[in-house]
Amino acid sequence: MNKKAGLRVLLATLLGGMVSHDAAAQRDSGNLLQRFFEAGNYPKNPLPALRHFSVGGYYRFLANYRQLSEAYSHLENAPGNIFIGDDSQIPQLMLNLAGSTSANTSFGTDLFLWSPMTGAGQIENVKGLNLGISLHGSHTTDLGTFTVRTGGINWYALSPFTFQTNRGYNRYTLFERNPWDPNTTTMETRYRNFFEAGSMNQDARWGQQAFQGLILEATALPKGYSAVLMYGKTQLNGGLSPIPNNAAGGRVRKDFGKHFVSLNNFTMRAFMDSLSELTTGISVLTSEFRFRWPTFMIQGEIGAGSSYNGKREEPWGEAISLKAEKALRKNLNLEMHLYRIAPQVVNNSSIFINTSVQQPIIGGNNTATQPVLPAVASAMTPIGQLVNNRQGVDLNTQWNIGPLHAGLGWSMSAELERRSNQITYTHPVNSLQLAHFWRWDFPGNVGPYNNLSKIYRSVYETLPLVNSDPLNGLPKNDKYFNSLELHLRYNSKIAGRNLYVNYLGQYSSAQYFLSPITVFSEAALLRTYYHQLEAYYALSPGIIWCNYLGWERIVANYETLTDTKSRRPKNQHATAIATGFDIKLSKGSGLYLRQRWMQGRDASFSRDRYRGFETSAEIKIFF
Amino acid sequence: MPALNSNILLLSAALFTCSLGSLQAQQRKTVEFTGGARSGMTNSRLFTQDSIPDTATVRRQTGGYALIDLGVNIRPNANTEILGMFRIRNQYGGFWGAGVSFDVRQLWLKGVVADVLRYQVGDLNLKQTPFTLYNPHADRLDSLPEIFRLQQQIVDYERFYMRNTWRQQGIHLATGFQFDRYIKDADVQAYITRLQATDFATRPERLMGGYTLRIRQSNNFSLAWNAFSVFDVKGTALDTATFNNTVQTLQLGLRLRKKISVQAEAGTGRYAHNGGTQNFSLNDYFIHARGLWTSANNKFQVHAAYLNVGPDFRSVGAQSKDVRYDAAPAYFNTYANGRFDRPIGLYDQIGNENLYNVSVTTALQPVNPVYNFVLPFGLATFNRVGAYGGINLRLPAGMSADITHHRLSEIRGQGTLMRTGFSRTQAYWLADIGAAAKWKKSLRIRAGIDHQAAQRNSETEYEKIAFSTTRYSAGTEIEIFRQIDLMAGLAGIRSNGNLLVPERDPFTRVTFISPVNMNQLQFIQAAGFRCRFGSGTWLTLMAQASRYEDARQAAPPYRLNQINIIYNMTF
Repeated sequence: MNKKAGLRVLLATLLGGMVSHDAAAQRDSGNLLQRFFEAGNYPKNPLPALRHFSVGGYYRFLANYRQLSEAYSHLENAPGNIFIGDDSQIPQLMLNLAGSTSANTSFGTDLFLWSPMTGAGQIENVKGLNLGISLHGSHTTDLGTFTVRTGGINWYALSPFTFQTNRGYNRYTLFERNPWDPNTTTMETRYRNFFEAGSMNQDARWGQQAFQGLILEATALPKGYSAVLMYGKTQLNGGLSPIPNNAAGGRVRKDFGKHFVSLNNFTMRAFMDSLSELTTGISVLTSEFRFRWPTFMIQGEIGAGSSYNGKREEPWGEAISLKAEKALRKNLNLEMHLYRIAPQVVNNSSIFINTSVQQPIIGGNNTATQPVLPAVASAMTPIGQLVNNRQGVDLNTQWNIGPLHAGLGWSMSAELERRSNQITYTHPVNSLQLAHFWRWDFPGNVGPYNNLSKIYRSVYETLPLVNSDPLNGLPKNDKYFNSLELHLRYNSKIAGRNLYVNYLGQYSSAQYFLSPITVFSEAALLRTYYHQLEAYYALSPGIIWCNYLGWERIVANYETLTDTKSRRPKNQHATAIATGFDIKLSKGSGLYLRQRWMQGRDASFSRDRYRGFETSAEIKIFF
Repeated sequence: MPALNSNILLLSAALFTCSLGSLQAQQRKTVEFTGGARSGMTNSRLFTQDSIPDTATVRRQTGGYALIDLGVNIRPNANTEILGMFRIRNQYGGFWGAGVSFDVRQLWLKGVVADVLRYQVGDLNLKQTPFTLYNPHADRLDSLPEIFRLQQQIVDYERFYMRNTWRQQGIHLATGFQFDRYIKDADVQAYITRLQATDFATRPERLMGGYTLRIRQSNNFSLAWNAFSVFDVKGTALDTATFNNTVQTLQLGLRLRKKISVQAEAGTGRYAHNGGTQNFSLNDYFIHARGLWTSANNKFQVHAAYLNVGPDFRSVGAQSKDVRYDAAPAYFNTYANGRFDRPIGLYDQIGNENLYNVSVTTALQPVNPVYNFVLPFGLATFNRVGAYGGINLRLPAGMSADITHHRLSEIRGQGTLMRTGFSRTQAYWLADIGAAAKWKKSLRIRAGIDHQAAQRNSETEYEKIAFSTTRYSAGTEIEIFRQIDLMAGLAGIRSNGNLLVPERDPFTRVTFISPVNMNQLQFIQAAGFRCRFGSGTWLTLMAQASRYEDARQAAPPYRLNQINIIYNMTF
């Protein structure tokens, strides 16, 4: 060992130098004295470094001012409201931190900062994690590639009946912006994409459920097989209680060409007592398949499910969804959808809504989870939104004729069992503004008649039926549902600038008899007519003028609950006129202004009325 | 003087070359990120056997977390390095920001002054010698199978245990000299850290400091002088009582004919409380000398040692235990209708980080004789005299074995003039079959045993002691696919007999001698898979079942089963 090398060994070993201690020890192997005199500050090796680390995210400022001249009783003393932020999705500043330790292992987390700007300053500012901490790793072997995802919320989907959110038919309006809406390359791209594709760019979560725990994926297995195993919590199992409340699922899939068949399972089990004697939960077992040819496709899912609550266990019931899609012409597609979901099949982590079995929330609290379980009632839902205790058929078509893109939907369905004497329906025209009447929480049975419930960024209303069995409270008749939906998207130019006009009409009814189409007469228990017209005009590449006109009409008959004073059933209408601008501030940043004048009233239920306006300004910057 | 100057210059140049060279060689960036990430999920179930039906104890528990330790490593120049590490922790079950915590995990600055003096300020991981500042992990079973070691690694990471160090906050300085003749080189290390901050009333500032001066005459002969002290700073609190513990030792290392070496350390300790209601001091000494002989082919080694640690020798830095047996396990804390605190078992001792200390403690921690009563504080265990020796073998077929036997006794009887005799035999066997057979995949089997016995004969029944504890473990790890291992292991403890355990006041003085009578059986078995994604990154799924019973204690038997999923990343 030369003198210089010896010095380096000496200094590194003794003084905590930057040369590896182990290397020095090896060179001096056999000298036990070296170890005998080991002392000092550790570690003596240089710290390892991450292979890659990145920070991305977005800033979203949202200010909202509301002034009501007529208000629900709980807002009568505060008809004006200023709100900074978005209670449905907090972050003002979202930092997505991601690092990789090697080519196949990585981690990520998201740090959010929010200032409510009430004037209190630093003490009210909020920091936290939105999705938590996620760790990823993959390992490739001769057998296949194995991937692990653990930690905080991972967005994931198995199959529609097991673990997925409903993607629907993209029949919605664009006027109100969602927290997750991206900034597009140009201001116009958002509306251009919607015109052309019938949807806008969605983020990675679209159609997926939040899952916390472990997800193991095996892909590229021999003979086209792949598999998934997941164990952890959905947001319905959330909560910090140590008493077990978990979900598990899995999928084995076989791909052959453009076709696939899979076997899927999803179960949830929660212990309701500390002695672990009472449990509640659900279980769903299905097979999903898709067979695709150039102009024809069949896809669907067939399975069974059950639920139990304490010592009460529902028998297994069937869940069937079959879709056949045919391209009739180049620009004309027709899809037929048959479905039947037994009332015993319950899975709030799937695409269908539970309308038949009351499900408890175990261990949930406002800070740990989103304590929302859809109402146990007969729901009138948009076409494509499935519910259990229902069988039916949908027909959907998409026809593009030059500058007019038309989507048409027809639906007819019936309940399988008489389990509820209530009907639920929504108010899409002023949906978000109604949700703003209750900030932060997701209360149920509120409003002037205690029949409104908030669910995320929307509100639904519950309507009791009067023709019920006095002994068990269940309806005496079967309920049937119909719906027609018309979605028109039109593109033209005015003064050389693009104009996009969209119309969404939804006409639905619920009644005690089978009908081929929506019942437009008083024979229906409830009729809902929603009309939404929106227009977007590109004033310049960086400025879009946005306009919205909405009208909804909801009429019930005398077999539903009537007002004690007027003695008349529901007779609601609501309107909205809104305008606004999308303004590009710079690359990746936009300013979005909205002004909405709104009103709603029920001619029969006098306290159910609101009138006013809401103004919002949003700045969103991605980086 | 000219010679000294030239030496210092030489040293300066060397330090500069060392630090700058290593930085440039690795092309380190000015700012880098380091740290670790981990997620864990557990599902546990407790079974109790009690004559009274248990209607109050939670039977099942689930838990988990995901965390990131993100360290920002800043190098403003070639001789300065800063690390700030924060921890983000997300509790299992917390959605949308619930159950999240943020902490600062590490913060330090280190560098080189004038290419001569190395320093580090902030968080430190320090050790000196086994009698001054040292974390001996005395109760650990070295032979534990890999499936349990993974859990111990997490405890080590959480508590900053590395190479027998203790976590401290303060400053550490080091420098060195080289000489042309008589002495090859010398180095000096010194540190001062803070053990407690004043409350301005009864608790004074308490600091811990020490230094080591090591002189290497040649590769065959070295000497070191170590000093260690924990002391209260006078005038920092209203209470005038102060505490002081000073240890000074001399280390000697000698190598003869390259195959025989002698290592020895001797010193004194003073432990004093001054002022206030307690005014006393304990003074004693220790001697530890060990000789080693290694065969020419390095496959056989024999060692023999003499140990004498006085009954009043106190060294806070070396006699602090890592595990706290009086801590709540934070997991099924009570059972049997809440009548009993659940006794800490092997399951907790192996992988429950809540039981482990981060830093040294000035009060002696309780000893659990089930795990170690012969040397519960490591070599620095006071009131022990005797010898030990052992052999180390490297056998064919990738096998190696270690056998050590201790024969010790008390120097001063506890509660009586009679002295207790101790014996301890440890054996550890490892077979690295995969490497020996030159397989592409690894296959290791390991097993070990630690038998301890205490014996005191007397005509008086109270003085009689007959106690033994046997700890054993065995396990294997088999690489079934590339980087995917099947792991299995077991460990157990059998303790039987009676013992007299001294109870001590906060000043380490015996206040009572408690008779302990136990017939304890503990057993844990585990099996699982591990996928190694790369260096420091692994995923393991394991199931383990543990059992605790003591026929002579009131606490009823219990069984604890657990499924663990851990994904660990160290970067």
